[in-house]
Amino acid sequence: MTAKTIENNRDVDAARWEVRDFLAELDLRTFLFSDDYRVIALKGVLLSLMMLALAGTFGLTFRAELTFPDIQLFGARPYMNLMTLHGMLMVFGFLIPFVISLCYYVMPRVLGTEKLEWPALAHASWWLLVVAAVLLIIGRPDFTWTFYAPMSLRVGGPLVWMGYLAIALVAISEFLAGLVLLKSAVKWSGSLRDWPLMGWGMMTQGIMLLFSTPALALVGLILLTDWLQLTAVFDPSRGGSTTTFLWLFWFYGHPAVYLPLVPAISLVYTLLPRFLARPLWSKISAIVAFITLLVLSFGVFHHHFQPAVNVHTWVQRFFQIMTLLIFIPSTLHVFNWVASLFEGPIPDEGRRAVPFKFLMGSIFFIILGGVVGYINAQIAINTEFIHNTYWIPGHFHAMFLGFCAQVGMAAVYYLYPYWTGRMYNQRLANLHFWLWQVGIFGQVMTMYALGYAFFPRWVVDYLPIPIWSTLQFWLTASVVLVGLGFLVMAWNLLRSYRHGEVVQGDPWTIRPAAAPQPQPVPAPGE
Amino acid sequence: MILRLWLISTAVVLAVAWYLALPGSPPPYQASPGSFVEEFMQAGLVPEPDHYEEDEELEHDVFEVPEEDALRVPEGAGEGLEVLLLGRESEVQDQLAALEVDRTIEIAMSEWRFDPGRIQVNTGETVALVIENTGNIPHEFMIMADAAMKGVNYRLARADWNLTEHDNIAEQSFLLPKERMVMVVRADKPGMWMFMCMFPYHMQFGMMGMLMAQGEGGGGMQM
Amino acid sequence: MYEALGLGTERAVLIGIMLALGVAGIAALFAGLFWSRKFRLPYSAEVAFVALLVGLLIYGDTTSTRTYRAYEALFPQEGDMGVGDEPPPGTFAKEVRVLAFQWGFIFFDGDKALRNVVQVPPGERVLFQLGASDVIHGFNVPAASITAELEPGETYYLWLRAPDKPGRYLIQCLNYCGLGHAQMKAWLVVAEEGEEAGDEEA
Repeated sequence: MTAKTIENNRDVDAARWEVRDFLAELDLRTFLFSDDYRVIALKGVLLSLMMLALAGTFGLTFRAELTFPDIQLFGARPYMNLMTLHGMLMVFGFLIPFVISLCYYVMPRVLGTEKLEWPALAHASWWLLVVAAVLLIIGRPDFTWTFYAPMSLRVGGPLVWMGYLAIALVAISEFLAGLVLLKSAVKWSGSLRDWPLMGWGMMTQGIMLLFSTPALALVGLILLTDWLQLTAVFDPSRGGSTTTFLWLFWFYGHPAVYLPLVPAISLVYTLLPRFLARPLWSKISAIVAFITLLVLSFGVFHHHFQPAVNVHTWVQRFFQIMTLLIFIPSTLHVFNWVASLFEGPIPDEGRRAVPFKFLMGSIFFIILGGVVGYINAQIAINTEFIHNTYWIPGHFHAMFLGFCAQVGMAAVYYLYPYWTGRMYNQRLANLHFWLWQVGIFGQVMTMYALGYAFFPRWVVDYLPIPIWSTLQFWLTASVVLVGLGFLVMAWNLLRSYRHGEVVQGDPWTIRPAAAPQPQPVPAPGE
Repeated sequence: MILRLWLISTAVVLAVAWYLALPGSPPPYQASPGSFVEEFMQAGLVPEPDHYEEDEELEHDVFEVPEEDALRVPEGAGEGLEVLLLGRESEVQDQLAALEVDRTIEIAMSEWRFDPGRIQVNTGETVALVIENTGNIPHEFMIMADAAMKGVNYRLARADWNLTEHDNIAEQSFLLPKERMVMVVRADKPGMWMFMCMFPYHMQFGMMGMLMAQGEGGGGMQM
Repeated sequence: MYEALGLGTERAVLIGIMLALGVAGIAALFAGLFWSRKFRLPYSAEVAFVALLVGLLIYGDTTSTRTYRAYEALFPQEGDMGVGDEPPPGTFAKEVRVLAFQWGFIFFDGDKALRNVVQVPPGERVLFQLGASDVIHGFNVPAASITAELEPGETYYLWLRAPDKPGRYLIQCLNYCGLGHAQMKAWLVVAEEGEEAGDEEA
């Protein structure tokens, strides 16, 4: 593999830009209104990092309440308010917009189009998200991020309508993003064979967004009209049906968990080859995985409320089988990445790069979070220690934080020189990396253990059972590490903006590692 | 400049969100507009009224009063209220007829209030309180001295609330919607007693009332 | 459901498969990163991997289906439920009806009614008929490893095998149902009829 081949190899090398202080060139007007794909992307990244800071502090706060049993720092309403906002701002405000915005930045360069289609829709999507966040902060709903009816119609006080409206606005915001992604992704002038995986991924993402978000918008709207007593769709005591709610919400709710995952996977496919200085093990495997995930993602959602059915018919068995099958596409991605690691030596520069480390950390956690899917999918064992215990938060924190957020951080550490012209402090970045690996591992494992011990979800206080108390304590300790890691990153990136080493030339020029040289055969007699 | 703006806005948003996130007392829950208890009776899930009896013996064995409760309640709190009769109306009708009652007061118990919420009696007066669950979910009725509330208030938000007993003068474990109970009391001393539904958060939402007894020849309440 | 049917080993096998997949995946990741031997995996390796997974998934599906069908087979059939109806003799030692509400449980045990407590004989199968009166509630018995989710107005069945050791065990609601959710708990008392409850268990 010569340097020239790499130069021409779009899959390995396309994601690079000019190194300069791009942020300094933006005044407020440009930042808010420019149609340049890089500005739109940065707008999204900065908004989502603000949501991360907010949702993260809320998370740490309610963790304080749970560290020891029997302490009462605050009552049930503030606790549930913090938890609801933690969940909603993390999923809707941070995870999905973060990875989508990073793909807004990377995709146009990788595809060679240098623009996002329908930028006005991207702007509208961003502003809707801002309004939704404001509504959530002021409305302070306490109905959990899954807002099950009819409970969600009864709680929260007079401002709870802001929560319903925020849900609908988030749905519309995501729908618009789907339009932008889909149209931009298919603007590829080359052959289908050469279409980069970022394109395949964003097409998948766009279709998922377009078909799933209307359900969420409908749910938000109906919650509002039910609450206003104009309709009675979800309220069974007025003639409605909770089953309708569950089917409609989770029809969005399951594809929703792939909305952070698919862009993150696309980013791994785009960045990993750069650090390995060679293409991935297989392109066709990735394409098959994307398409299979897209198809299956709409046919599994019943598993979220499977115990609400008493006698399981072929309907539930169908969902069980589909849920088991959807295990496969994700394993194809992991297989691909690991096989790529095996395929040749890893260049030292790649191995030492902070973005590469975060990519490896993310693969570790997609395995840790993904394998439990094998039993989560099965009805009989789901009714044991899995459904609605802490096992489930263990699973999704491994996927959302361990995989998606870490891929996003890898991308941020990768793109930082292109945004600021400088490099951040390597030791602090490595510190962030290790704080997160230890912290997220501790968090996920203690949550799994708590779930196995039947610790319930959504509780402000718990009985002083020794195993619960011990695990909750170590869970808080782990989460504190995660929070510290975020602070270290924020400090590092902000400080390096002024004091970081100015980068000359492309910072991620990784030369391929030399293949092991065959040893010369000793001549006879030597 | 953008980063500076971002930092400032993040700080402002954090401050505002935090300030708003920690409100005081919870807004009352909207009550369930309807009840499924009748449908459940038809389906056989809930027995018809008068077709069951409360197993008070098991309840008293299993639910314990935490020791700490007594430490917080002053000596002699609760004295002065004599409970002459307590039970579901259908069960105690005969005994009620045998008692000489000076006054009967009807109280409606629902989500989330007692109506009337203030009862005034004279010392020595025998009063029959007929309490009906006019709400859509089960409720409890409990009466204790005002001073004795300190013995439970400290643990109102604790997870073991349902699993412990709350020391009281009298208690009816639960009343299904539409059920009625009777409690006949006589205050021998002036005082103030609180009655409430002790189910989690019912009291905090407003299901509490007070019974005041005034002595002859003057007001003033002693506790 | 494995616990109720006494199929702990089958459950252990499934958990074992999950653990094996996790260990194998992480071992492969570390090997890819730190092992010096490098080679290109043929496509057939991935095909074989998927075939292995499909085999495990089929095993999981059949085991789960067989188990939940066996569990549900013991529910009273259509037409023979309700007050006064007798279950097939010997199936259940006791049948209890439960009303879940905000925020507690009322148990109807024959002609007795209890708030937040129910007594069952040790080691025996007990059937619960459950209903939620207002919002979605849950019903979970950790000691018996079984959970139900209750939509309001609907009737559900759940049966369990009571623990062998007498004592007090926890029943808890597992669906967020409002501010009192964390306190919506009850005692499952395991004792022979006529005896007292023993020490607290979890």
